[in-house]
Amino acid sequence: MNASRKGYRAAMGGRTRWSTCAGAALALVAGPALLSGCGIGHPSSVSSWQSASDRVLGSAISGLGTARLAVQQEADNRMPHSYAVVTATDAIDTTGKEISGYQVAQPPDSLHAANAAVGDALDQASSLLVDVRIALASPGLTADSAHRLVQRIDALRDKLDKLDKAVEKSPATVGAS
Amino acid sequence: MSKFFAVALGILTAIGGFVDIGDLVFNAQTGARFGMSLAVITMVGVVGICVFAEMSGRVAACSGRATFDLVRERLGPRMGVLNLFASVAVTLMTFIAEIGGVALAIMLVTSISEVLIVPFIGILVWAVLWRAKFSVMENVLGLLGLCLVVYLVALWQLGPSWGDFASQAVTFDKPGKEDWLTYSYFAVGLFGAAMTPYEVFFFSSGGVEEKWTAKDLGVMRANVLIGFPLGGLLSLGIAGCAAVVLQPLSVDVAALSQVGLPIAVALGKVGVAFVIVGFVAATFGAACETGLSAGYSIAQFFGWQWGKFVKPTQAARFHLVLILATILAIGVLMTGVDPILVTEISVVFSAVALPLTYFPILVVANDRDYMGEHANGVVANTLGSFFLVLVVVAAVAAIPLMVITHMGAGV
Repeated sequence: MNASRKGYRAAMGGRTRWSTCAGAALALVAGPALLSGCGIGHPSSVSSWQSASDRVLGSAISGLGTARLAVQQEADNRMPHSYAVVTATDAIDTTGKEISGYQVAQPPDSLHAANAAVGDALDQASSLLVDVRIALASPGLTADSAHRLVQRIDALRDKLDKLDKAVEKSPATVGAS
Repeated sequence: MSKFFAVALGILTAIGGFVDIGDLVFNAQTGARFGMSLAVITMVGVVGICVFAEMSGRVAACSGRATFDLVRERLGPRMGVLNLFASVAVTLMTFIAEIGGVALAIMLVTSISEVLIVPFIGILVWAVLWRAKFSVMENVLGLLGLCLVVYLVALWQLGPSWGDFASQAVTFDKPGKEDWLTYSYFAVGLFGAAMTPYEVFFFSSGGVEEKWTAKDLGVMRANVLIGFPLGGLLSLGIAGCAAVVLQPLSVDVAALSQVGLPIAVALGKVGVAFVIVGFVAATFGAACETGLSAGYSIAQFFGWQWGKFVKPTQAARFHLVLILATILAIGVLMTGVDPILVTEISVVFSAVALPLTYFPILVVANDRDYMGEHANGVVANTLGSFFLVLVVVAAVAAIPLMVITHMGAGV
């Protein structure tokens, strides 16, 4: 009986050591993450919000730059039509993934207005990318419609660029007015 | 004359076969974000792959046996298993990325979703591996891969400031907005893309398939020492075109369609036609090479009959591995996973696996029992040791950099 209890204890002791190690490892991984606000619904720090905003705005600027090239090459008949449509679709896809990743994060409490301003600009970028794809796919571009699209793209890229700089320099002023 | 033809053909196929999906993606990404400031890393990677490809080709020619065949015998089963596991895992990941790359290239002209194209590509790759002669497969796809020379023509047509390019290349400077950790991540990625492990397995096993002997060392060296650097020039051309067209618009390359955009700008529809053929040939060729490399590695390690020089019935287990690898690739890609993401991960993990691939080659190439008078000399050992240090540094840094920089998105 004693022997079997000893064996049981030894076995349980082994399991306890394993579970302690696993617990410690989990605490090591999850602890800092939770403390730094990585838990779902926890506000992120100002600096991590700035980094995330910079990344997503960069991605939107990149998507619009890609769309601009596709529109110009299609309008100049320098690219197969299907290639231009796939390029515009890829731009929506990659930018959309970045935007949805950004939107699930909780902004710092002091930067809700700034977060809304960034979100609003990203929505405009998404809509414009969809407009470009639709115009490219059907009925196709005319010189006029291509010119108008390029103007809209350039204006929004400029706006996103300014927003990105403001997010970096003084996030509290973004969306304040 | 026939020797001259063999050398010329070998060099051309080495050029055309040098670029794969990892090179396409990483070179375009670095060009678009860092200009030519990482060009030196590509050149260093090209020298590295030349050093080890020459070594493994020499091993194949002198011993008549391929890399994995000797690794287990020379280093024992324990080291061999570690080497096998790491190399096959990375090679399979690259195989998946290449098949995905072919599908993405075809999508550019058909607009059909890559998920629907993948099964057909997988079956076609398997059919080529099953039926096509080794030399036909290597030569046809290698020569079609030369269509990517269109990047050099486009770069010349775009007319960049060559002085500015040279200055960026030698000063290692990064654009102001980028951080050094992201710069380092792309440096490791470029190095990993240039030194992908499957290239040496394929090269040495191909040497055995083509029955190289010590007499073929000259042709083999010409292929490696002329063909690979010229292939590396294509990589620099891709980065250069991206630097001229995509960098001013802050375009961050995340899709294959973006890699071909500079060609449309420079050369119009004819250029795009060439680049799409080049994309398909480069990725299809690399898919065949990686598929065969996975089969070679496993079959050579376990001592099974292998290769395309024997009938499939005599190498049934080797062909079974090819079938299973193809099914795995189709299955993974049919989940809708982004092939570009798979490419980026495969390149980073290639960097991690580099020491496990190249250390055994260095050991075997120094063994006079196998190599006789063709064992490594001072130059090969000095270069081999230097690159071994580099691959260890890249291997250690790869995963931390991938995590910290959010896969290159930025800190």
